[in-house]
Amino acid sequence: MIQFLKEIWDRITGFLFPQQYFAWQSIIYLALFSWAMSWVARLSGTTALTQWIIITGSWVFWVIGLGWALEANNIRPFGIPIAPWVSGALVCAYLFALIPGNHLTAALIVWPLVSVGLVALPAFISWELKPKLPMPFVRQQLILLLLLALLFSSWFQFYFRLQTWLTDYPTLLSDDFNRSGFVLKVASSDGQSGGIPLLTAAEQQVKDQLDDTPWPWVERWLLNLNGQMVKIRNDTRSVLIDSSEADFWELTARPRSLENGYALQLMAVWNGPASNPEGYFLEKTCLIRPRIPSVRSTDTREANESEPTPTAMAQVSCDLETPKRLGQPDPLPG
Amino acid sequence: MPFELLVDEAAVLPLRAIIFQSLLLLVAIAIEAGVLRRRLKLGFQPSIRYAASLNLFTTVLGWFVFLGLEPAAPPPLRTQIISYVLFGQFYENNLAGSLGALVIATGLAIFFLTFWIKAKGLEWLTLAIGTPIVDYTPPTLTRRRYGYTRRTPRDSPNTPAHTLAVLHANAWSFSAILLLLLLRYGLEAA
Repeated sequence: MIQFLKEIWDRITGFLFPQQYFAWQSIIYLALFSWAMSWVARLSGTTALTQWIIITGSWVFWVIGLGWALEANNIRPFGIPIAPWVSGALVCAYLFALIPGNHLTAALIVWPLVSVGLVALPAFISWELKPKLPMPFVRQQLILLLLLALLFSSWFQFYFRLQTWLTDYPTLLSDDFNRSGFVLKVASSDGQSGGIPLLTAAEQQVKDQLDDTPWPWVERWLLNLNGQMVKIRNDTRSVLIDSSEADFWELTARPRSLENGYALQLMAVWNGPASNPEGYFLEKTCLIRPRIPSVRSTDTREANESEPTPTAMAQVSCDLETPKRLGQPDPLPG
Repeated sequence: MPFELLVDEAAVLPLRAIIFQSLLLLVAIAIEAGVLRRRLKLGFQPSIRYAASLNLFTTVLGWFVFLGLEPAAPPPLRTQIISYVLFGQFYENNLAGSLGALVIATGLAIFFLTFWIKAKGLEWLTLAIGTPIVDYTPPTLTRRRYGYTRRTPRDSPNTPAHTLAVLHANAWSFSAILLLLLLRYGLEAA
């Protein structure tokens, strides 16, 4: 038992305190030390320049130390030497933390190139800091590595380009990408279709214009529906004013008479790219019914009997859900 | 927060593009390495390294062209590209009719362009690693003056061997890639 503990102890001390000073552990200790010193400097209120120098030193030691440690311990998941990639990531994190703002995009795109630069640096600069030309075989390896890094960088850029498209046209996210040869939707986070706010705005317009209006007015309004829709389209355009997909949405409406009132179908037709070749549209149904204003309580009844029957007022109520229908809406009758 | 940003936006990843491109690259590299090895009498390792470098080079250039030109494309073309990338099909707009011819013309142009780039790339690559495949020493002018040009073997072949080898390699790999693409869309359509 004691033998076993001693062995573990020896292994730990051997890991923490290497035989020679020129080892990766020394660099890590330097990194830890300068990191601690940077906190001391910050708490004791030194100038920004001093802090910057100490922090930069800490980062440099971290980059070298971690890269060395990964290389020396031969940590190669799936046979890939990850040391330059880790060091490159640290360098990018440091460089882009210097600049205020969010630079994740730029940092990810530059990361593979920085890593290759770190690999290439020792090949092109000798220990005496003189430029040298690496051996032909090393040159071939570096060319291959550089091309691979450029490919990875392009993939990152493509990913960010995809995000740009999806922020430009948020409706696309609510579609499904199963037939795509390029992308895969991993999380099922359906983005909100831009048609929903459009339909809500149209609903508001219809309610503003028809709710609590005399019933004959409603019938006249519905007769001139096409003219009214031009106005509604113009008014609801402000919902999509900031979005580049405004041109893809087309608002139409179709009345249908019921035995008691009308049903107005508001439709937002998507004319942009869609998984269904025929496109699709979102639909919102509004019911417009006449309502006889309720006669007030008993004491006014006698007075009312002498008057003519009050005109019916319209009452508009719209469905909350906006079902998605494939294809194009049927052409208007007539 | 950069981390939240990643989680929020990670919903759509270009994973299929990455996997399929890696696969096509492997196929093209294997085929082209074989052709280069036979035609240029290279060893196994150099031919694979050459083929890998050339194919990666053209792929990267292709990405640069796409990423550089896509934001500059006119909106109808741009939305067609988006439609093709996200949904695997073009959609109806005023460009839809001419897209088929456009795709075929682009394919042909890309074939000859990659052929030229690969031929040049092979020259540069071999020059960079110290075993130039073409002779860059200036030809002696004295002989030409006396009309001996035709007889000297170095000047006489109208097409250098490496250009022909790259042409063959490119033709084979493009055929294989076309076949794979057709198979893929055939399978998806079935």
